[in-house]
Amino acid sequence: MAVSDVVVSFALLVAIYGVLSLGLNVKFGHTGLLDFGHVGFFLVGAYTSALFVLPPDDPADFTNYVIGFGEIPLVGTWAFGIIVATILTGVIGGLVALPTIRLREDYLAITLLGISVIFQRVVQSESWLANGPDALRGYSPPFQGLFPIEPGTLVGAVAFSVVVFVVWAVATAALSLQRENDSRLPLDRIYAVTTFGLGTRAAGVLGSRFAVAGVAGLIAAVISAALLLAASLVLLVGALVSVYGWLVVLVAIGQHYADLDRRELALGVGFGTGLLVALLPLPIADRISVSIVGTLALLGALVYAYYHAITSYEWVADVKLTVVGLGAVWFVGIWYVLLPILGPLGSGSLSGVLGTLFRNVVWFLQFGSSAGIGYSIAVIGDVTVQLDYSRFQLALFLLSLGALYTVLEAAVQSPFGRVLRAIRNDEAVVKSLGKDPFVYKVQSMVIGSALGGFAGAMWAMYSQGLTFRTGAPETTFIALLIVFVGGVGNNKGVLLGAVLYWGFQQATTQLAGFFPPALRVNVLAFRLVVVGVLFLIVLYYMPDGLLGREEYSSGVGDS
Amino acid sequence: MAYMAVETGLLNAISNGIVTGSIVALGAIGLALVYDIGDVPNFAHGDLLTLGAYTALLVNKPGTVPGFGALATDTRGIGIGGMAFLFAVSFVGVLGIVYHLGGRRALKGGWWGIDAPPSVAVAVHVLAAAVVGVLVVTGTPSFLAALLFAVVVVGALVPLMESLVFRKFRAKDASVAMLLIASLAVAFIVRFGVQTIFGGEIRSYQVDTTIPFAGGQLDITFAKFFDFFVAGNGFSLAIRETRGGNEIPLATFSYSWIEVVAVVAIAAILGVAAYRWRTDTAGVIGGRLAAALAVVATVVVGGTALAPGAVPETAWYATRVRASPLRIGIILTALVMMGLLHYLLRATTLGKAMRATSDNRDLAMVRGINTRRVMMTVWIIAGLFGALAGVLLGFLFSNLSINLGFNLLLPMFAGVILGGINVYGAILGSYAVGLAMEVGIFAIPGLSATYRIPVAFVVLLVVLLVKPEGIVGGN
Repeated sequence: MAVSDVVVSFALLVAIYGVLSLGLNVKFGHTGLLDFGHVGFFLVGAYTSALFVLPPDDPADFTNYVIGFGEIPLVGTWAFGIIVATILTGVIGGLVALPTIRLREDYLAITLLGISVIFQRVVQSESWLANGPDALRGYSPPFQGLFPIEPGTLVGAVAFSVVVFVVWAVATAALSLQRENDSRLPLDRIYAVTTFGLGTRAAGVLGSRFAVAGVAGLIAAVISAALLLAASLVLLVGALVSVYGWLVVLVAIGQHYADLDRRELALGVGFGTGLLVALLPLPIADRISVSIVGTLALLGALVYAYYHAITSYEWVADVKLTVVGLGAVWFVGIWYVLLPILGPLGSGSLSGVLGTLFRNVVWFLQFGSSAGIGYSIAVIGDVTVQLDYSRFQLALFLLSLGALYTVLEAAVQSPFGRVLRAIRNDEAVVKSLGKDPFVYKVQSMVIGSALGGFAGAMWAMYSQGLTFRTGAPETTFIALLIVFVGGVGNNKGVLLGAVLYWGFQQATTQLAGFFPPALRVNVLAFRLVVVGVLFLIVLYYMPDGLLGREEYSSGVGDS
Repeated sequence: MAYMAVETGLLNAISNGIVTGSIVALGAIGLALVYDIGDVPNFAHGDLLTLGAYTALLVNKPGTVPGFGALATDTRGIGIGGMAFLFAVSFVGVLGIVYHLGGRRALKGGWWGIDAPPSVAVAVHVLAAAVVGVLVVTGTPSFLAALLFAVVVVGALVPLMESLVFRKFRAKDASVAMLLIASLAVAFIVRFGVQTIFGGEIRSYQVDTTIPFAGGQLDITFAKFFDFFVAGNGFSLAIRETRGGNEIPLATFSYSWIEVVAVVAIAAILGVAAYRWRTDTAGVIGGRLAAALAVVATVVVGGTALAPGAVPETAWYATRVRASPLRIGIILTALVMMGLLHYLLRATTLGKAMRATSDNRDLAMVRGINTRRVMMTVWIIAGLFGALAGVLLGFLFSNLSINLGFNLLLPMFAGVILGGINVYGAILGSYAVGLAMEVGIFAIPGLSATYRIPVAFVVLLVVLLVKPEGIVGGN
């Protein structure tokens, strides 16, 4: 599996947990309702949406479920299923809230945890409902039938251009933000090109930069669809989009760390390199005990050195988080670019090195599958490329996440959002102003639970198989962690938290691959111990998270 | 004479409920103390039970513990290195528990409540630690040694939660929500810490369940049948067991209605008398406890004295209770532990300090009570009782899984909240929850055993919605 595929599956999980944690953030971050049973809505949403796309139950086979709407036109689609799942979980969230929301904070947490356990037990023990303790399978995610794509057909071209649209729009929006900072690069000119001239000329007509980005994405999508239909130029379009993505990412990293001076940069790079060195015993050492002890000792030394540095030197303490961030970026960069080519480099094959680099640079496409289109490139040799389903799914997920995020941000900044925050801060004040906190709390539960249900439906699409473990209480804990890492009550922080959590998960999953299979359960458990410890550290030292509480305008003039 | 067929019924469910309630109560005692005095609704408490249950494996099946297996000779035997390790851990564990009570001063007898020379106190502590160590090492791999080891180790580890985590959060004036979330993180660390060491597979204890008893052998996991008959001429109880496919009688007790009425009347009179005698005293045995003891004593004495008789051939009502000596032992263990706790709370300086802190922490502090020591005591008790509950639970279920304790968390919370967040209420609440779980499964048709915990939770929900201050009252 190419590195870019790992990144795609990582981003899928980020999108799912992003939506899930946004839901928890509405409840806890904005309103102060501590819902330890958030996963219950995730579970209900996942199973509900799956039952809408499953065909009616065949009594002869081994699976049993109560109902399957899959063969009814319109009803038996993912779109319908996800809407019903969202509404249903919202309604359940409201019904749960009606009696319980008046309870004390700790009682509320216990009660909601209990309700989620009940949901889980029902799914587990009622075998007629959704295949009981066994997995519910037998459905496929939306539009999977279109893949592998036939580039010459209209359907294939449309599916392809949907992904192009999302990537182009996101990249353009990001670029328009970067354009505001000073840069040595001709960002204005690049922006003018990638928005097809709209960014500089039609900005006034279209309004916000996001509208410009959307239209630019649409144009890019239409152009790429035309290219595909006319000449099957899959690789060309893929390479163009990939390069544009890289440009935006690299400019973003450059601008984010532009303020650092040389020694701070060196420290960050040193930290990332140190992390890499600390992990070296895992692939190198022959004996498992040596590699475990060596890695733990080196990691301990790294953490101690970092701790020593931030407590002894003031200039390090000022940039303590930036350094870690830069180190992580450096680490990821080496992992993405350098590590995959070590193998071919060792065997001295230039075409192997270039081929691997090329594959990783053109992240937009999947290489090496049997169903793709073949190309022959100088030096590199023959490659087959295609747009695989998981990239398409990612585009759908990112669209959903972006839409939900936008709506939520609007809601949070509306008078409604202000009342929620006021309830979190002091309920008595809200009451004295004539608003009933009860009504708002129930509404907050409805919205948060509905988002949980939506995330559950996304999970059903992603995992293609559901068990009652989908509703394990650990998931709530992870969502809570994500909310806290980024910043309680800060939607942008929630997304950052999801990225960080799953980045850690992916990295440790890769590391677990170095252990013998018998030990993998232990290693995966150990990383959850680390997650728990990190969570405590975040709670204690940064209770407001990395980004802090978002300061929203009060809606009153600043006079 | 044919023995009439007897089915299990409500009474059997009630007896199961008392067993479940006993284990829930052992866990809930620590949870309630920590909740009440430490102000932490500790979501990690369930995982303490898991920790205790798995710690016992180090003694009970040392060869199966990863890493520790190197010191073992086979699955259950340990070499000299293993013995030294177990001794050292138990020794340090006991001294660690004492150390938690106030550092070096506690080791010198600072917590005793009486003035004793420091050298004597140190000697006593070291001797106690050595005795526990020797008991563990010589008892290996028996179940009781494993139980002792687990209780000591967990009792020494759990107070670290307070001193490393919760004390720091409290010092920052963290809200209840913060403490809740911190406890959830601690739960995560404990649970997956156990899994890091022991892996994912399901484990079990190996216990020699046959013990010599009254000249014969008694298998303590082997069910005995207690058949109750209510007939026209009186009330009978027959104890039977299945041996070699046949049911054989072990003992029969039979009482005429006059005898029953007489015993009940005497028990009532003695109970009321005992209550009057002991009520309004601040001693260990208060009015209600005295009355209960008097009633139990009368029933036992009267029941044995008037026992002779035969089982009736027909009865108005007959029901069977299946109970093994193990289950009865769990109930008795729980009662003994509760008695010890009651003694600690009523008769010792430490216990009085605990009760005072529970009533009003600021006032207790002003009056010179060492509230930090009280806090640590609370966590030690939570660890001791939690480990005991975990090991008993692992033995009763005959398998250990990583979710063992977490599954009991909701019933424990239910019991604690039901009892109004204080120790005595929590015990009562736990039995109510245990009974609700077992009777609920019995009484509601079509409810599988998976629903035990939801039933406990429904009880809690109803109480919270109807009477949020708990059944016992208080704040």
